[in-house]
Amino acid sequence: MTSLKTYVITRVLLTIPMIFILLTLVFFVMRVLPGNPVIAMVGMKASQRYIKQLEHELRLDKPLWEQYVDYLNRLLHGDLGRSMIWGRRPVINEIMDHFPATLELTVWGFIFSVLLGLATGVVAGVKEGGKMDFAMRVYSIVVYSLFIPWFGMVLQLIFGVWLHALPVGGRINPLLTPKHITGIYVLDSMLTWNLPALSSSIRHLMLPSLTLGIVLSGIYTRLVRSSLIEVLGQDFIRACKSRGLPERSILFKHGLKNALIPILTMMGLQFALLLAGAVLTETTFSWPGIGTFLMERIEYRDFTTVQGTVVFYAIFVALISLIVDLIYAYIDPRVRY
Amino acid sequence: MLKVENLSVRYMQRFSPPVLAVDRVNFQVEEGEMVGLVGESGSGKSTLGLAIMKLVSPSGKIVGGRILLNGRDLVPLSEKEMRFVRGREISMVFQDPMTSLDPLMRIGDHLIETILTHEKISKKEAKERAIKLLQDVGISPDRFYDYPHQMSGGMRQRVMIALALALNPKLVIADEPTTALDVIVQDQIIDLFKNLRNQFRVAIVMISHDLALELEATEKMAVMYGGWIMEFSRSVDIAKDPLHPYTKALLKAIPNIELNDQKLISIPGHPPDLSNPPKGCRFHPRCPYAEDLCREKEPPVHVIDGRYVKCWLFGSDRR
Amino acid sequence: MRSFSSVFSGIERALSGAGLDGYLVIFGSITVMAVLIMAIFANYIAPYDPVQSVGPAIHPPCTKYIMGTDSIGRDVFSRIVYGSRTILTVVVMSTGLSMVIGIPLGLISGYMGGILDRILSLIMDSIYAFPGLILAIVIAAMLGPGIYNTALSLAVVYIPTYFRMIRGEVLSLRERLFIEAARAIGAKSRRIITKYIFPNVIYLIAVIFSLNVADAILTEAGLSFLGLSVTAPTPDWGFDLKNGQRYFLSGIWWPVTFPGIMIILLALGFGFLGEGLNTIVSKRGE
Repeated sequence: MTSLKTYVITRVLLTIPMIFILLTLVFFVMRVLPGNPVIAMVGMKASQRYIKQLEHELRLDKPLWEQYVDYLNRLLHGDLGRSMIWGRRPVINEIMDHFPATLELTVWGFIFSVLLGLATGVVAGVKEGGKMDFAMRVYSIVVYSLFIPWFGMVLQLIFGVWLHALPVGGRINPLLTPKHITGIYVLDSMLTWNLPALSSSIRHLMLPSLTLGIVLSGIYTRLVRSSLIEVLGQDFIRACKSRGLPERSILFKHGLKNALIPILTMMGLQFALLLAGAVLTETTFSWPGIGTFLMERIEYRDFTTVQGTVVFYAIFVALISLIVDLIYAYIDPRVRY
Repeated sequence: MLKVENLSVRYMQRFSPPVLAVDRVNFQVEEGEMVGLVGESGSGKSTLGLAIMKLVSPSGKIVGGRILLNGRDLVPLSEKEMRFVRGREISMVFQDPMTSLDPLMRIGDHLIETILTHEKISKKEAKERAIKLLQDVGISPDRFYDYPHQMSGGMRQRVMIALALALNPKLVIADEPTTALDVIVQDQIIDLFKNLRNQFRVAIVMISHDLALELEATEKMAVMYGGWIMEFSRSVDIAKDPLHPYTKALLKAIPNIELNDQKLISIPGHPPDLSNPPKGCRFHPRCPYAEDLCREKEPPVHVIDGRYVKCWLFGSDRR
Repeated sequence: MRSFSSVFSGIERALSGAGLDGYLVIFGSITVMAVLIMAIFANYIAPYDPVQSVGPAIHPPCTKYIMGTDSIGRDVFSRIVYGSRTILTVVVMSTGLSMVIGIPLGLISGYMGGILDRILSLIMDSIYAFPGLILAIVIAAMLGPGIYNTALSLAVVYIPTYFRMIRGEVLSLRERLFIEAARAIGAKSRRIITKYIFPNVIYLIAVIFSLNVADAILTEAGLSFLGLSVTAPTPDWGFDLKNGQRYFLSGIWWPVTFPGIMIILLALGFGFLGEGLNTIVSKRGE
């Protein structure tokens, strides 16, 4: 029990420097890179007075280290600042408006990519060096190379325009929007037992989440394959055979289960890839998540919102990797006991 | 009960020629007998052990001979048919207990899984039997829910033995079961094997490179060298009067405490490279009695007083 | 012709025993070479000026405009040919920069160990854990558009990739006998790193390079698609794809399909090359 405690404490403590480094990186990118962020935001033609006023407001007229301390201090109190446009709402509220959409998309994309990756990875790993193994390795490279916007548009053309089977953009038929509980439409419509909303939101989710899921499944193919090959070569698998256990139970109950442990430890990194892919997916499918939100605010040169969104990404990624590692500790008995 | 006839196993390698790791080997095991399989590493003894269970694939293949278990040949059996032989009729204990158990599975579940795979009994009955088995190998039932990593090497090997005995097989193949353990635990495990053999009336093939251990524990033994069985006879005969020059050399190499003025002798030379074995007798480059004939022709197997020996020094057909 | 066949027999020998992975390497190298040739000889290959309107707008592919024309009458094929210059320039500059920074840091950090290694690793791991495209988006947005700025933002993203791989390899090399021997006879650290360690990581660099370039191509295309890389009228595959998006679903498929296929082919070429090389090298090592 003590080893688990030590693990959890160490892991939680390790998250702090990680977040700190990422926040510093964001600060560095936003302030220290060549160029004045205010001018980058409002353009060269703005009046000197307006620029001065904005600089003062963003505390850019203070020494750099003071800005840095101030920046960290505000974040510590959960303050991401206020938007520079449109009613100057707190950035955190704006992010929270868009976060459920991104979460919904990435979770579904994640499910598709893991299912596809598991199936293809197992087919490849069962017989290393075989024809199917090669075919699945090619699959993994091909799907990873599918440029998300292009692949998304092709799916839109096939399923939306040609087959008229699925909607090509948006999250839901706006008339059917369910009562806001979590902001995740599939969940909200299930909670309120709103079947039309459920069906509409799932239909809208299909193409974007499949696009994201298929492209990223190639990574899981590789991970599952190499991990499974390693596990199947271990002594205890041969020992299982020597006891006459059925092939299927050796492969799934003993082989795959053990192979998934190292993959789990890499889930955090994979989730980051998912978030990056989601930016392109959201843009392609006009999906109103954080990705489209970030791009919109970059276009409007809303400096504080851009900074706040990136900070949000950083904290989110760090927390996900923390959660993944804690799940791992719970699942692997060698850490748990 | 078990009769191995002219068995050959070939290993395919990716960047070197195939190796005949076991070459036309003959030996038999009677019911309840403890038979040793002794030789240096690379002699083919472990391959032979795995081959009896048909566990040499994918890189290895049985290319000839028969494995008769109570008269039934195992060689032509499919993987599916072998499933019912493995564990139930023949089972195996492996060299490294640290890596032979599934790290994600509790000790007790290993046993229950094995029992329920082969027998149609309730889970409760299976659990009772599992606990009984653990007691038989000297593990207290409160370790039932332990994970493998919570146990010492010796205890894990006891679990492996319990697993091997779970379905009351007729034969257990033990592949260097004590090599990975420290000396005191080694003796305990060997004693455990001896007791269990009497208790369960199970035959044991004990594979080892340790001739002293084999002489003490077994009734009969086969001495392997370069994929051949060089000598097969009762262990007392081998101890008193070894026939094959290789057996003699092995016996001399045992450090003898009583004769402490005698210096430790190891056999000069190296084991043969089986991808390119020496012509004639495979032992001739290291054999002090080697003659021209040994360098030219493979020696035949002679039977002398019920003992088998593969050497030109015996029999009358020397030319 | 004879020299041709001798080149091929040379390749055949090099790939003998590689099996199907040999085909991956062949496909990858041919694709990459083709795009390289396209970029170098763009002015000979492209039939029209890529930034001028040369015909009717939105004309489907025909003998005159083999890939059709875009919304303002520019030749899609010519823009594809010149666009290869943009993407290759950005990717080559950015990977070059990532290597120049990432490899030496990885060598030093892995070899020296200690507190320096721990700090550097923590920083690199943190950047690595952050979604690469999003980091590139923010840097590119702050720097403003342009080829150099895009290359710089991609370089930051991929420094940790090189750092981590090289460091890991150095850690295992450090324990090897010949490095120990060099240290025992009192060779200087710098000498050990450059003379003994670096030559042993070169093959690894080749593999990371191919796989990483495949990734960088997709990220560059992503940045352009989001409008953060180059400005109009520069020909660029991702950017052109974005400009064609509006008309795509109304059946005007050519301004999107061709740039998309080029992006995928180029990424695929480097991906296959890296995968094939990696498998062949590790098979040989067995």
